[in-house]
Amino acid sequence: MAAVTAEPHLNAQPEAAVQPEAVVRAASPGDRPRVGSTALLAGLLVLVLLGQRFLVGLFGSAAVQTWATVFVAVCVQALPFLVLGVLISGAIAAFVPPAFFARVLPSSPLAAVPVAGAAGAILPGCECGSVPVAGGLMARGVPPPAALAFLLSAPAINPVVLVATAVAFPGRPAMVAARFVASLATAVLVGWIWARFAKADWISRPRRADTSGMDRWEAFRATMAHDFLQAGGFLVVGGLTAATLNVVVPQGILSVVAGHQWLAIGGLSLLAVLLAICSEADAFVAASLSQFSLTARLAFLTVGPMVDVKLISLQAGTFGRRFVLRFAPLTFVVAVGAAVLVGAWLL
Amino acid sequence: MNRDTGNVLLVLVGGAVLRIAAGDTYLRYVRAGLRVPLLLAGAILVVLGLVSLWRESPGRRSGPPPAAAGSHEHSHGHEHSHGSAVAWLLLLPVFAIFLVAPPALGSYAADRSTAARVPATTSDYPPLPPGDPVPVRLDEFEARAVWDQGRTLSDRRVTLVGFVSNKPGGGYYVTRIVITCCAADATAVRILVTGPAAGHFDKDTWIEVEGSYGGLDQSRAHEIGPVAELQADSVRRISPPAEQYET
Repeated sequence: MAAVTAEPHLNAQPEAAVQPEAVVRAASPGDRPRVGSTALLAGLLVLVLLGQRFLVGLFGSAAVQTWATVFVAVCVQALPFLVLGVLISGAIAAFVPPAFFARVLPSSPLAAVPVAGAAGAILPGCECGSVPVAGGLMARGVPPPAALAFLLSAPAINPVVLVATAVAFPGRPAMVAARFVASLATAVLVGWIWARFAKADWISRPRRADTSGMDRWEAFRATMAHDFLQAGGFLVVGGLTAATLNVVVPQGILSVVAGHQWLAIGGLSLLAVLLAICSEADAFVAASLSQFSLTARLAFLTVGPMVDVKLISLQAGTFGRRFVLRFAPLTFVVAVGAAVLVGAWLL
Repeated sequence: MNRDTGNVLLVLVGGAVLRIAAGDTYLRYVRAGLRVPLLLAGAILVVLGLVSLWRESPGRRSGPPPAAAGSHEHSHGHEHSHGSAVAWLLLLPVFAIFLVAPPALGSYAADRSTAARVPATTSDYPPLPPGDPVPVRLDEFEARAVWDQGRTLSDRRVTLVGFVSNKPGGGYYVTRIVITCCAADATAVRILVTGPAAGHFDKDTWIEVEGSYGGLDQSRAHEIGPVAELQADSVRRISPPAEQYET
């Protein structure tokens, strides 16, 4: 009896082992026939329209309504800035030759790092855009430390972000200055540390965007569409997180963390990593965290464009895992330190 | 996600933004000054999506640009699919706007807002403009009461407009949400309505209160700071204004 009951059990195991292999085969790019994403989108739209009554019913309680309002608000207010950002970054990707940046850089890494860091100020874009640009710079012979200084500074100190910061902190121009100084200092310091200590094989060869077959307007349009969809998706992640924090976290706990100076700085720095808000919008979120000290919010604004969950995945995809495991913690520590010092000085 | 789907998403997001900015709905989420940037951004996204759909339509795909697009996708496989998966999330705000259109923040958000408010200026309050009663913003009434000891409010009758939020333990506030930029940075300004004419109202009812300054209520000072009081002469129910926030 025992042997008979055991038999189906034994048979079941090889079957289960075969199953994952079949799943992998079906998902491999070689197999053409699968549900297209356009069909998926159409299906989703129909489902949502049919289920409208049910979906609206979910938003009956005041807490959920408040959550939804804050979520939509974060997305809506950031959107014009995001569109402006991808408009400019698309134009630069299409109309400014990448060789231009390599030509103007000094050959010594020690001098090239601050120049590249400062160059971030004239290349507006959000952090998702600066990762491929930095990869392109490296591929064209720019020393990695200089390209990394640019990668860090561009999303933090460009005019679009600084204007957004000024708008979000009306009557506090010191906040704009502090953000500029702390971010540039972090970018240059990390670049120098990388130049001194990093090994060449920590960075895997970056894969570059190839728009060479397109004319300039096509490259402009394609870059804009691609950048908006990518950055917009991450903006929604930020909106979801911000709205959830806004509604779920009791205000009392935030004010306990906010009341303690070092806890507040560490807490908001970690929050910046987890929220992963686009640098064109993060100033508005920082402005809403009004129970935190200005230095803690400066740390939030310095860390956010340089280290966050979406950047870590983007950088791992472009430069490799060995790179990001060293680069992200280094940048985080330097950014928090810079924010504390600059905050004590300027705020 | 393929390119067509992404381009349809661009049109959907742009259309959702145009829809809320064309009417008054956007005022539930952001300050009035963002209307023109929102209209521009929405129009750019719609045009970008439509042009991309046209340029990448099957009829045009045999030419050189699509070949380049193909090689782009190959050299970029990982990053491309990574971004694509995230782009699906753009459907969430689109659905929220078209289906739910969440309302402006009300008493629930106000009750959660316990931050003590600091006005833009704490000195130099000129006399109120002429009028009897004179309409006053809630944040201005609060600032004149708390930071100027109510000097410019004495002997004046004022009209305040806001929604009802309950005071724990009885009574109610006439309340407004104040935003700097968007609903994510909301704080609440409350004025306690007192006197026999105050009556009873459900929370979130919009009211217009006529009355005069009645001193400061310190009963929740440790929690939300001092609250200005309005001795009500009359309270009447009104319909909510288009711009529900004070900015």
